[in-house]
Amino acid sequence: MSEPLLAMSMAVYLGSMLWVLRQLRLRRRHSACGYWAMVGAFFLHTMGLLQLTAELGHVPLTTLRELLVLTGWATALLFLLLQPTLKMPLLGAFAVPLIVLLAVLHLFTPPPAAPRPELPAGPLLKLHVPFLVLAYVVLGLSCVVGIMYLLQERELKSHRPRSLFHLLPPLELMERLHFGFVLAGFAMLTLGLIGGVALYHQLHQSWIVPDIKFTLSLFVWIGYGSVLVARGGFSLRGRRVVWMGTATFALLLITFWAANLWSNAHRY
Amino acid sequence: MSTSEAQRTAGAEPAADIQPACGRGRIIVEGVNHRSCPIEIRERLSFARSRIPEALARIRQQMPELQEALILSTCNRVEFYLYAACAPDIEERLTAFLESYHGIDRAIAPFVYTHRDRAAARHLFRITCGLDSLVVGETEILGQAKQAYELALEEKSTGKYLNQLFQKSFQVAKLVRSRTNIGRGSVSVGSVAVELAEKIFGDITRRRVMLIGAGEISETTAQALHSRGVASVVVSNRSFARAETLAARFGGRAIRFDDWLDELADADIVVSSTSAPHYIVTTEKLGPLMRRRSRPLFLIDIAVPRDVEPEVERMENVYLYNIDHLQTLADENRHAREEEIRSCEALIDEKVGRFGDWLDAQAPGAAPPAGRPAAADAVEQELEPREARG
Repeated sequence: MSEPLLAMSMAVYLGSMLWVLRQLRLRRRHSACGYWAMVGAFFLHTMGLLQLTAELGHVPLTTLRELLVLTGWATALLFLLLQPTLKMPLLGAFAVPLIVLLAVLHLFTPPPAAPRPELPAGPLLKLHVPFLVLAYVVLGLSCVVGIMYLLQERELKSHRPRSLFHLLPPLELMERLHFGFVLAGFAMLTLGLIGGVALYHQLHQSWIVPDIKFTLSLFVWIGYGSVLVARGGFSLRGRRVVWMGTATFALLLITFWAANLWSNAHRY
Repeated sequence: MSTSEAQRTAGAEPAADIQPACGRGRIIVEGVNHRSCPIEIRERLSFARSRIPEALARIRQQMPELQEALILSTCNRVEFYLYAACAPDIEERLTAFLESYHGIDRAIAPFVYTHRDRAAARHLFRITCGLDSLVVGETEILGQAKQAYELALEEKSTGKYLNQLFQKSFQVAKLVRSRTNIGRGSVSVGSVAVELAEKIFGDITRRRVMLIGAGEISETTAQALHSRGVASVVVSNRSFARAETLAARFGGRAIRFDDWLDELADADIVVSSTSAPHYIVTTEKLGPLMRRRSRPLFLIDIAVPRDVEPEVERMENVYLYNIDHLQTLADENRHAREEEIRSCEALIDEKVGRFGDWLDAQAPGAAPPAGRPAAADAVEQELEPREARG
């Protein structure tokens, strides 16, 4: 029963995005309808998630399919919480494709062939999974803001700014937000990875994790770490640093979804 | 300009509608504006704010049939908004009043336009929306109309009809601005520069501006930035005396021309307008500086020939706009605003229709407009004068 609700929520998310894009085409800033449509989509999404939780008998955190639903939901929640403060009319139009992408990945992710081996319930598992989900969500929004920054920067460099120029926020605001999201996401990613390594050690008595997903995660961690060092340590700002953060998110998406197909420790 | 031409350019209604009607009172607008009247006469007809109360008192004394009156006097227009129950020749007497009040020895009638009821409402709605302004879509006139209304309220010279007319016009202006792009984009070089600066930095009140050279457009641009509250202005000019004069105007600081590069490190917005025949700001000079700084630099090159080497634009965090870029943007924005006029007029038409319905319903013995009596009452109640509501 959860699937129809989740599908409906995706349709409404898409509708809200199309509405905002229509407003953009008409060069209008006013997008209250788009925001409230997204609130409606989030309500359906929440209902679907609760239904899924009831069907599974636990919070959907155990398989990749479940995680995709939860991550999309958390992304929408964070956007809706931040939007009244940030007052960025276009953030929703840029955030919804990410939520829809997660939903599409959910549709194309087959259920696990074999049941996942039981993991020891304890603080390490609670540290590993929730913090990584939060990291994915916050870093996802950093990517959204980064794309908005790059578009505005291109508009300004073009000398012939179009509609987007008027609708997108100032460069410096987006640059600060991007850095803030990367900083918060990196902290969560670090905690999640520490939890994962400790959990592996608990199970296999080894600090070396011979797993493709873990290796790629380390690259993601290094990528975001480089962004922070460049911005915080060397005071580098601007297009190149934002590009670095945005490109690292592409690697994160691969790590989150595709790596499961080849991973030993994360085949679920 | 002939009478008919003046009335046509100012959008006056056909002569057939000018016949007085004594069945019920009428809202009347009479005045001159930048299209109907040359400045030599307009400036003599204008009212200083301090003289408006006295003028209102005098006109009501001379024309007791006037029940409500308001004067809107700005650089571009002098207009009387009136409500009179039955005054067949009020337009002529008002023109005569204007001539005698200001001691004008020539006939001003050819420059005066008149609108009544729905046409008067349309005229005011267009004004508050900025459609009747020299710069289409500007917002200053809305503030001026509000001030004129406040003053008339203080003088207790408005009533049910002008209160409704003006408050409705403010609502329409708000609606038009939110639903159309009539106010979008800046239409002067200075305001385009400010808009770009705000899209780079956000709040520019903590930003430092540096002028290299002190030309006229440079000064105008600096004035636009200064009016938005930039933190400081530094002026560098070959003539130090001129730099000092200009710096004093903005409460800033003058520096020797040879020192501009040292000061550039602290500047966020640079306006360059020297008469040098070669580039002043080059990649060679700017490169080391940009490697040290961690924030954007907005360069506005107003000079012809240009002061800033075009290759500077390729540097990260540098945004370079020359006079052609700024002028093109201003022209495009002006054109875009003009394209929005049709959408604005459609909204105004709708609101004029509703206002006209309400006006008709006020006639003695008139039935409320079919299907919406409650709504009309609600509007009327909503538009009671503020002071009456406490």
